[in-house]
Amino acid sequence: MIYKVSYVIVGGQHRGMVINQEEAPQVGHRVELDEQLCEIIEVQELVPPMGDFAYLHATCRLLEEEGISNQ
Amino acid sequence: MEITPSILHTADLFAGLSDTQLTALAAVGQVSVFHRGDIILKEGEQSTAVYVVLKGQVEVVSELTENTTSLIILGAGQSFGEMSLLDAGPRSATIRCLSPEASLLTFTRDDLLAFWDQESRVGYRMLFNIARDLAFKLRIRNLTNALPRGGGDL
Repeated sequence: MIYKVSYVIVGGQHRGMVINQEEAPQVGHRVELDEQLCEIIEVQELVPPMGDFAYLHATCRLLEEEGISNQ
Repeated sequence: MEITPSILHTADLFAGLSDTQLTALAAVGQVSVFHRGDIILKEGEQSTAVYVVLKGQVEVVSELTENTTSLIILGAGQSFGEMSLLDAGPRSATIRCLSPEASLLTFTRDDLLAFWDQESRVGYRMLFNIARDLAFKLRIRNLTNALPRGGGDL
């Protein structure tokens, strides 16, 4: 399955990203968006899956602002 | 960069196409390599090629206001330029290479339409995929507009 994921970051003027990936995003996972470390806080299905593709929307929060980027 | 069906299978623009169809399609396109900061297409310009990100990242930049605004990053598997492919209108945003290097598969409008005329099932499938991608982008816009602020845009 290919996951087409739209990532957005709440609470700031940060760009989102859309990427196709082979692993599903999950709440609690950390991702690097626009060179900033983020944690996924919500994943929702944006469009029903079709064929080999799933369409997801992942909301993230910045970790660096909390000073835990080195973990 | 060699274009194989396995690479193209990860791009939703090509969803539902067979290996044979993908191989034929790849021969119609051209791979271009860009470097960080390169302008791939410019907002307002008249060009009609469509692009698929094979490797790397690009950013979508709006210059509609006095301040240039970077809207969103597109990574592997994403396509852009479909609007001008469909309506031959001016580019709605500037696309700039963000990663140190990015490889894109490029199709000119004329080449793609000619291929679709020959391979109508491929044309049907790709147009369906384009419509689906535009719906995806519209839904993202609806969701991000509902965020408190700074949720990104497309």
